[in-house]
Formats: sequence, C-alpha cells, structure tokens
Amino acid sequence: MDNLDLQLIPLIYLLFAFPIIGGFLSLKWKMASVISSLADVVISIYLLFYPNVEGFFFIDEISKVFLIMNSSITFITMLYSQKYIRDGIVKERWYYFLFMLYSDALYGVITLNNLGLIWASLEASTALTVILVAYEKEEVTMEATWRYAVIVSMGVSIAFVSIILFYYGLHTLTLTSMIGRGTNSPLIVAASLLGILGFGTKAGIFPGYTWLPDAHTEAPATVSSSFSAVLVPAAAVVVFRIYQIAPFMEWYFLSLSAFSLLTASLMMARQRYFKRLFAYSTLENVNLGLIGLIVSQPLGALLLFLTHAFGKTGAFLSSGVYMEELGTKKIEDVEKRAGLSRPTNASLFLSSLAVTGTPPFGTFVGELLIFIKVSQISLPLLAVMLASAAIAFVSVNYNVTRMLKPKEERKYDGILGYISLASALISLIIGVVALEVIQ
Amino acid sequence: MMKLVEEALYLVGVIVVLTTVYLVGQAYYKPIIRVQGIQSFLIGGLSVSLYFITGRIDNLILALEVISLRGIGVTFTLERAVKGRYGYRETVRGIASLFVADLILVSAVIVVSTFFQRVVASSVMFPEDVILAIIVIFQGLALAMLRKGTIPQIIGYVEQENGIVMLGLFLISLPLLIETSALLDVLALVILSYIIVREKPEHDRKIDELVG
Repeated sequence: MDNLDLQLIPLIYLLFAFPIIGGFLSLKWKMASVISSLADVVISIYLLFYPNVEGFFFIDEISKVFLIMNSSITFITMLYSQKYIRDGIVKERWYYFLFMLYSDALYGVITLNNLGLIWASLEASTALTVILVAYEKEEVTMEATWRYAVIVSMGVSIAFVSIILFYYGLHTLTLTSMIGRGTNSPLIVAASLLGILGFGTKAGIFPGYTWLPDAHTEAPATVSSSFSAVLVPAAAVVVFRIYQIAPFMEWYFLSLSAFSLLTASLMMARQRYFKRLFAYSTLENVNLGLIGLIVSQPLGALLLFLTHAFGKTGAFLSSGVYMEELGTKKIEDVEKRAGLSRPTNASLFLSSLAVTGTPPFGTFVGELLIFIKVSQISLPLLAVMLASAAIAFVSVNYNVTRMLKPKEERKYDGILGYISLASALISLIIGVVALEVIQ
Repeated sequence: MMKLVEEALYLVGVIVVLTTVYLVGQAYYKPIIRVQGIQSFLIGGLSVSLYFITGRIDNLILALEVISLRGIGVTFTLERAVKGRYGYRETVRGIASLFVADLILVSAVIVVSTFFQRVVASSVMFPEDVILAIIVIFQGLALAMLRKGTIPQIIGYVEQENGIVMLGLFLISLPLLIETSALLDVLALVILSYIIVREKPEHDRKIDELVG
C-alpha cells in the first residue's frame, strides 16, 4: 500500500462512516443529518482531485462525479427536510435515520469493486426506502410503495441470476477483473441480457421501469428528488458496468435504452400530475446519459447526470412546496388556484428548463455532446433521441407554464422555495462554466 | 453411490417444484405461508447434502441461513401478518384456470431451461437440478404476477429468491458474503412488507393517480 492509498482509503471509509453516524445521531438531533452529509460533500469534492482507486473500491471519474451527486443531493434534501418532514408512517427521527443509511447504500453502489456487493447495496437501498416511499401512509401511497417494493425486488433478483452466470463464466466478481473479459458466448450473452433487464429495473430501463412514476408521485418530495437525482442514475451506471464487461453487446444496450427513452417521452405527453411528469423526465434524462456512456461520450453523460441531479432536485423540491401549500398534485388544480411566492415559481421554472436541456443549462451541454457523438455512429438512433428530447421539452415546459400562469400571488415566506431555487441555480451555473471550459 | 445421491437430490428438487405448483393453486394464506416454509427447509436440506458431497463449509452455513432466515424468519413474520386467522384467503376467482395456466407455463419453462442448461451450463455436476432451479425462479415470478394479494406476491418473491439460491448451489456457489447479504436483504423486505400487508392486503383496484 503506497502513501496515496494510505491517505485515500481512510477518506473513503469516512465517506461511509459519516452517514451512519449522522443517521444514529439524528434519532436524537435531526440537524446531525445535515452536518454529516455536509462532511461527505467536503470529502467527495476532495476525492475528485485524487487519482482513481482500484482495489476493494473502484473509484473512477464516473464514481467521483456520482459521489459528489450523492453527497450534495443528500445535503440539500436533508436541509429541506428540516422544515418539510413531520411524523408519518414512522416518527420523523426514523425518516432521517433511514435516509442516511440509504445514502450510505448508494455510496456502496457507486464505489464498490465487487458486482455481488454492488447488487447487495442496491437491494439494501430498496429495503431502506420502502418506509420512506410509504411515509405519507395514504391508500394510494401504500399501493405505490407495494409496486415499488415488488417490481424492484423481483427485477433486481433477475440481476442476481445474471451475477451467478457471470461468476460461472468468469470465476470472479471483481469488477475491474471482469471489465472487457466477456467473450461472445451464449453464457455471457445470457448474463448480460439478464443484467440489463434486472439492474435496468432500477435504472429506469424498459420493461421494468413501471415502478418509477408511481413511487416518485407518492413519495415525499425529498425522497423523489434523491431517487431521480442519484438512485436511478447510479443504477444506470451499474448497467453501464455490465456493458463494459460485454462491450460486444453494444446494440442491445443502445436499443433498449433508446426504446425506454422514446416510451418515457411519449408517456410524458399525457401526464396530469406534475410529480409524475418529472418522474418520466427522469427516465428520459437517465437513458440519454446511459446512451452517452455507452457511445463513449463520458463527459457529456456525466455533465448530463450532474446537472440533471440538481435540476431535478429543484423541480421535486419546488413540487413539494406546491403540494404543501395547495394540497394537490394535479397540474390542472394548480393552474386554477393562486400561485406561490416568487422563489418557488422561479425554482420550478428554472428547474423545468434545466431538466429539458435548455441552453445554457448543463443538461444542454451534456445532451449536445452526446448528440454529436451519436450522429457519428447512427442516424436512426440520433433521430429517436432528438424526437424524444423534443417531446419531453414540450411536455414539461408546456405543463409547467400552465402551472405558472400569472395569478394572485399567495404569501409564502418559508425557506423551502429558496432551497429548491438554489438547487436549480447550481444546474445553471454548471452549464455556464461547462460552456466556457468547452469553448 | 454417487448415482443414488444424484437421484435423491433430483427427487428433492422435484418436490420443491411441486411446492411451487401448489402455491399457485392455493388461495388460502396460511397454507401458502407454511408451504413456503417447507420449500425453504427443502432448499436448506439440499445445501446440507451438498456440504456432505463437496465438503465445502460454505454450503453448511448457507443451509443454516436459509433455514433460519427463510424457513423460520419469513414464515414467522408472515404468519404474524395474517394473525393466525383460519379461513383468511385471497378474494380471487378462477384459481383452477390459474392452475392450468401455470402448468402450461411450467411445461414451456422446462423446454427453455433444458435448452439453457445444455447450451450454457453443460458441465455441471447435477444438470437436472439446474433445470429445476430455473423452473422455481419462473414459478416465483408467475406467482407474483398471477395473484393480486400481498401475501402471495411476497411468497412469489421469496420463491424466486429460493430458486436463485438453488441455481447458485447447483451451478456455482457464490462467495458466502454475497449470499448472506442477499438473504438479509430479502428478510428485510419481507419484514417491511408486513406493514403493507396490514395496511393493504390486496392490489386490484385501479387508482387514478397511478394510471399512465
């Protein structure tokens, strides 16, 4: 172990330790969740400037960006939760505890170098969030939670079969030893297909993505934002790792991702509930990012994932204020009722622009880079992607504009609107900086 | 001697498959829960047998885990969820049709899994048991998809996981740490499902907010 490892490994363990400590402390003092997630933001930014790690952990550029996404979004949502969350299906303190452990499980998905342990972390993230999705304890919430638990668990079980097959074929589950070793044999083809189907359930890939709109609509705004910003993209990275094991299956992955992208966009056109609309937008963005990774445009994909994370957090958190103040999730109801304060409206507006790839947001830069790369590979694929992005742009912005039509402004002095606005602005700032750097 | 062992393992595997067929055709919750327990015990038994054949201590530990976490833990949790009520059943019609549909499905899966075993896993020690494991996985999926009650859907999930354990046993044993994590994750999900069973025992009503 060299000096660099001696510095890095304790830092990585601290990254895992803070959410656990924060989770336990927040059983007594809820601000502990904010402080521990802030500590993780500092560590993840620090890790960005270190070389890649390969051993028990596998931290490459993708993992580094995802570490920042997970820590920052957890920090923002924990800050927001302080004023937003009250007792639900369990006492408020358990919400913080479970959320922090869930964020820890996501660190496992992002950084571990063993496909089996990555699977276990992903499955643990499901178990830890069942209560969080069911938090509001209404009939519809319980139904959505049930669909989430059953569909995701059964899907991820299929991924476990894929792991068994990979282990049978390659005799290792260490990711860095598996990458690129998959030969074009029936065994590896079967393992890869089951992998994309299984892990794809959690990553928002057709046909297993049906849980996603339901869970996002019914979970508290904070949980929805973390799902959209980190959980689903992190699972997409696991799908990308499967692709890296068997890169000869590129077109299977691209086709399924493109089909998911197209169907999600078409579904967006007929949505009546704003959180559901944003959930489908997550499917669209994550599949675009996954295609970006597969076609070897990591910069575009990571920019898209990163800025989408902040933009979508802004969208869900401002949705939370709307639901809290107006007591509805229906776009039509919001259109008829009085509007909210300027920060909340501005946050919703900016974040809807961010998640639909409007210039100069980072999502625009990311999507542009991916489109340019895809144009060199396949024009039909590019056409599907452009059509999907266009449908998504119109669907989200048309509906958000309906919600923001000038109405009598309701007085709302809470800080929640400002937190969601800050998240949307980060997406804008990243985009402007990225444009400058690329130029 | 080896031939005898092979046949004994095959026989136990067939009994496991028969339990999966029974589960699809049973509407009453208590028998479903208990037969799932028996199924987990049988798979634990298969793991113990493999310990005696291969001498791998991992198989023995896995057997103890499957029996304690699935055979006892899951069964106990679900029995608590239905509160020991006799005659508590799912309001499902056409259970006989489901049963017939399931038998057709099993026949199809036998053909597919035999092909799979010959092409993908031709050099395993117990090829028939690999086929049976795949049938159990599909039966779990079928149970969860064909039924609308929370309990049968949980059992379907557990059954699918049982099939995966069986596949791992006869194809290639995964590192114990991973097997244990999987077993604990499943137990955690079943315990959480206990809350949902109490709140929402069935899932057949169309809810406007979750359409589209």
